[in-house]
Amino acid sequence: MDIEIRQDFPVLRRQLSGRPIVYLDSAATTLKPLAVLDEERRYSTDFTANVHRGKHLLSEEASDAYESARRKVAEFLSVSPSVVCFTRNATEAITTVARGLGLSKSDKVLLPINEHHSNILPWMREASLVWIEQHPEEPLDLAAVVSALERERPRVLTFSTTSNVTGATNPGAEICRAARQLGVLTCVDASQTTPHEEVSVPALGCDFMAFSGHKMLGPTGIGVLTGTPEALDRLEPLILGGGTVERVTTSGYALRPLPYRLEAGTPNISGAIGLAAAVDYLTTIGFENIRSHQVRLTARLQAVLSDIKGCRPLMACKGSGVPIGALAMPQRHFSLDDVAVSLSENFGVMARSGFFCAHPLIERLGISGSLLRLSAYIYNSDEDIQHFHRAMNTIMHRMS
Amino acid sequence: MPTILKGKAHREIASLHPAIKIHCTDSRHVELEDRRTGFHLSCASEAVLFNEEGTATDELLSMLRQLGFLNDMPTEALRACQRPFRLQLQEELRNETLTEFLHFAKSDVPFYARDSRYDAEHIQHVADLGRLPVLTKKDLRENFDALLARSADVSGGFASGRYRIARTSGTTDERIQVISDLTVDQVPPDFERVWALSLDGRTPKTAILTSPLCSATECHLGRSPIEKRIHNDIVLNLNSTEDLFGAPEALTRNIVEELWSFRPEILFVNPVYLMWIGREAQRLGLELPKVDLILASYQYMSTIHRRALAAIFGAPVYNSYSATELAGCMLGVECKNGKWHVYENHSVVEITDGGEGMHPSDIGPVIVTVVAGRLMPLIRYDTGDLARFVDEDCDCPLSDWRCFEFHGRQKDVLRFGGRNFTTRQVDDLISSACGIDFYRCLQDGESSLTVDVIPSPGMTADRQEIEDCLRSGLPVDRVTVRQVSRFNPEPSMKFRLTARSDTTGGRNGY
Repeated sequence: MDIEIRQDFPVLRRQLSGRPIVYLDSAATTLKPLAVLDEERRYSTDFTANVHRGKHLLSEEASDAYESARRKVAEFLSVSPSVVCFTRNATEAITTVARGLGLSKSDKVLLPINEHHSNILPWMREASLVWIEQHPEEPLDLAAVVSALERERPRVLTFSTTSNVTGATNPGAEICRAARQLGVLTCVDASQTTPHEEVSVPALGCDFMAFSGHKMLGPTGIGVLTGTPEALDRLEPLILGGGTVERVTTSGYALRPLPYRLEAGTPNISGAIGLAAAVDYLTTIGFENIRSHQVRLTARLQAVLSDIKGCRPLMACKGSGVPIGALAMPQRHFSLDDVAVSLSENFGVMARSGFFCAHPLIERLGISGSLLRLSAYIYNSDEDIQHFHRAMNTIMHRMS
Repeated sequence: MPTILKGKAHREIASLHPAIKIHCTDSRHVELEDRRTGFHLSCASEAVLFNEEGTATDELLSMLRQLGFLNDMPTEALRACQRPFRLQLQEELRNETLTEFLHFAKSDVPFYARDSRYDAEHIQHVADLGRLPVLTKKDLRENFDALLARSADVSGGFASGRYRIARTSGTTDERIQVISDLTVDQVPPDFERVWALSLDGRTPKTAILTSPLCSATECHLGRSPIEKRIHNDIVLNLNSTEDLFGAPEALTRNIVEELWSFRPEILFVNPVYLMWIGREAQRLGLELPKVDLILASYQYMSTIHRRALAAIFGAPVYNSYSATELAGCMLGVECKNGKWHVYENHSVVEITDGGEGMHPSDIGPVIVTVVAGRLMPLIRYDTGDLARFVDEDCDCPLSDWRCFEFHGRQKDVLRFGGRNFTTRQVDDLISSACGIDFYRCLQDGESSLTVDVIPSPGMTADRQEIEDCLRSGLPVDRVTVRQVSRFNPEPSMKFRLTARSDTTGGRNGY
């Protein structure tokens, strides 16, 4: 699978430090295959027009392509197209929920410590946060979640199905079921899950779910908010404007049904088309194939991260098939930012250093400096991980 | 065993000429200095230089006469008389240092050890260096580990704070990260006289202002307190900005406040950054503390900025020449006479395009062999800069270090009518125009130039004067002068004075 797929990604043709680049930063954004780039470009070259409000040919074609993209994504999520709301990204989708529920500071929102800021800050602004006690590197323990739900009786439970730092994958369906039994709304950030597996929203059983297109081979600037019709319908739109209303009078307005009421203004049409192309691309490869590839890479990455002297690996051990993991470095004579630059400039390895928008997690882990994160995807091979391993050993051998 | 000379021999030599200063003597070894010219002579002879009575032998007298030590003549003539000997001695020293360095590099650095082209045995002279390949940034990037000396204790260096990661930001062909040795002495010997300072032996405090650095340990964008930016009580990294020409007043006030609080003797700066901040301080009516010296580095300093900075800060402005890739070593230094000297304690410099046809005084690429490098030794590294050697005598303490004329970056060369024009050559033309604070000359066609100008406060750019200045030296058909309010930096956060747009195509001869 590796060789055939690599050819689809133009960025991987680039050479750096005398060899093709090794891209290990897919948790931040994935590379785009030609199939996605071509479809996205087709909107600009073949049928540029605004959607929905035109009757001419180009507008019809653009509307068809946009709605067709929605149907494709709906099929991927096993939901009706009417509950696929296109947003800019997962952050905007979660903010739409946090803002739209009409929460107040007396409302509690329960969440794990290892969430991305985009699933913390929207809630922090609207309500009072209650953190679930858990092992910060491992998946959520169902019993701990249930206990917290029963104790705190929050209005909302929000969590990511996969951690963007450790790859820890949570038992989403079980958690959502437990929350629903207690009448707690659930919001799932699936940004790090949708690249790796087909997500059935009904099977997951959440009220809201958000993800970003660019983390699953799609374009940047396109994301999705989905969920149950009832839950989505109760959201006050984050933004009002063209496309969200049936009619406007001098004294009021009537909102359109879902999904349009949550899509104000001209949408990212080419982005939605590109996202659908990404879904097609992944579906064609087959999520079973992707799964086995990713499980293999996860095992390799776990072994490699555990073998870097002078660093502490941060990667879920239990049940994760997502190759995302990080390194912390206790000594401070040089930083993992420096290591990331060296990996890039001297070895052609693109890995991200920093805090990955997960400050509460880093604080809980008791780490003061930057981390180095490795995240592999379908275009990576075992050799890529080994190349990283050799490069890292060389750097660490010299520096520490 | 040579006889240790007693007081009589000292008196004997001193009586030969009052300008001779004796440093150390025995019967076969003498160290003398001609105080009129600073010519320092260390002479070890197989022959006896002094007889047992302490009288100078004929051999010594003949040598001293030949070197002008015993002559009474105007200093200038005396310097001219001594210069060939000084050049010869310096060349011998340079070759000796070079061969020793090459042997070290060949034996201790895997990159050179494994490459048969680096045959240290066959290089006895700087002129032989042309036989060796030229190193590029790409080589440095691809051989991170192999270029580090085996004997360098990198981890120990980090732990002790002797070493630090240094990096350049910038476009793909410029980005590089190296390990820098902070213990390398970056001021020239006898620096007080080199720069006409009187510090009474004190170590000068230095404030640095350049493009921003943000690392895990230090940030120059206002997020690190001043205490974290002061090193060893003598170096302060001032806060900087990613948008120099749109920097808020608060930044200027902060810099001025920190300068008053730290009271540096030396400002080590990117001249464009200091020029803008100094100009802003004047606009805001902020008094600036007096400094003794401004050292410009990081990019080519326009004569416009040199003049203005000297006026704003009331201090002389000289250039200091290095590069991140040199891991802390220096390439050149400008002395109080405005002469650029090769920093020969650290670097052997060639100016060559690799071809046979270059005249020794032609402008060409600066290729450096960093003989002081013991961490990441570089042999024939292409700096990307242009310069030419000038056969000039300079009476500063660096007199024996070769003089050169710096011309800017290779990639910044303009090309008109089949001829190359360096940043220096263009700057020499435009800096004769009045009322300019900042400029950028962009070649946007085979024979056309667009000049963007920020005039001095209260002035309007005199388009005709600027055009006339440029036309006096550049064979251009069209010159467009535009008044602007800001410039955008390069990805490296520097500001180019000259550049060619992509549409002009082709590469220059460098």
